[in-house]
Amino acid sequence: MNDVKRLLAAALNEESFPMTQTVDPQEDVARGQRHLHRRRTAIASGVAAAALLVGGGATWLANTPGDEEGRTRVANTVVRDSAPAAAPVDQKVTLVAYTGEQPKGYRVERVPDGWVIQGGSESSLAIAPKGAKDKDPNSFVDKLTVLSASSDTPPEGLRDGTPVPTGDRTGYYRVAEDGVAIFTYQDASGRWVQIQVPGLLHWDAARVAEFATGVTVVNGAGDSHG
Amino acid sequence: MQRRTFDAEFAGFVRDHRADLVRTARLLACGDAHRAEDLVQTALVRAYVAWGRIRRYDHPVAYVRRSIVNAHIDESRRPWWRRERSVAEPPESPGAVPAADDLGDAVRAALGSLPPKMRAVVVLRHWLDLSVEQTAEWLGCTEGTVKSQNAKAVAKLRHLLTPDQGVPPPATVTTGRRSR
Repeated sequence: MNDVKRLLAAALNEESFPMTQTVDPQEDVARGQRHLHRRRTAIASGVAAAALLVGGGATWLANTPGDEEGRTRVANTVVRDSAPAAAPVDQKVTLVAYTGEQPKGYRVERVPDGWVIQGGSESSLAIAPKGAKDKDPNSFVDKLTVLSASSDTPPEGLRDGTPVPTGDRTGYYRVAEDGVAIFTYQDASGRWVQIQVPGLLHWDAARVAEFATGVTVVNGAGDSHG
Repeated sequence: MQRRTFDAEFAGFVRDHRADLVRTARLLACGDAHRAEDLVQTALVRAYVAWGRIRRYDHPVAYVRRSIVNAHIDESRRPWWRRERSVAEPPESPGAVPAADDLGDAVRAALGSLPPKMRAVVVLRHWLDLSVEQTAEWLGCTEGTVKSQNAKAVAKLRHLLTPDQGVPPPATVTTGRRSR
């Protein structure tokens, strides 16, 4: 039947249901904005609740000798995977040691080359390209984001994805429909952490795991600057 | 990219492609305009979230079309859809070739008699002109499955719409318009 396309055109019956009128895209834009806002709110709410629940434990962890040793190691971390200056744009962004002030609630050993920590809170840590227009640390679009997993997250959800060796533990890597890679793992304190990696970093699972091994949630209550 | 520029660019994309996306969705939804609108809105919300990435694609509209197809397949798997779906059962042996005014209804009913994935094969292969390979990739099945599903679908449409073999549907059907 070589006239299937003609039949499909007949099924549209555009004489009765014309679709050629001017399209107003503003409603679609507004729906997209609302969806993004809801998603961010849900993430922030979930991790904030988790932070409140585990805050006491985190405070204890932040004051243990092991933590102090960890902080010392940050200062001594060397640059990894240095890339040639003329690296192609599509090459993976490499990791370099982070030597700046530690953000609230997290200890970060490495960051993407050319990226800066925008801020941390009880619930999230946002890392973005230096000079990024969006400087809101609570906005996560096109940013490398670290989130403490909500305590009520189902265990199977935390292990959703491809297992990836992460230090002496196992992380789980998957790519969401919008191209953002999701990586979940247990940090040195045993807490589940979720990292959201924007597609523009072009990171594979191993690179995300390398970044993850350098991130620890040090104070869920948010009263420490590592 | 600044949010305002981001939104303006996405709005331009919607302005250029929305009508075409609705057409594809309406075929998948057997003419159900409300369900088609739901599919398109779902796909466009996903596209907005991913716009920073897909705007760099050669053909961002392909991403959204694929998202519509995925939403269609996903939705058809939900029990409520199976309960509430309006089943316009076409007659097994229609008495005559439908008149021009009825042809649209007959084709929509015939499409509705196809399983959702088989219907998607028809739309992808014959409306969007995707290759067998591309169709298989979009639907996550083998090329052999696409070929067999397409053959069965076309045979069923032929049976339902042209009971008298050799008598094609009326040649007056020119109302459809396709733009990609």
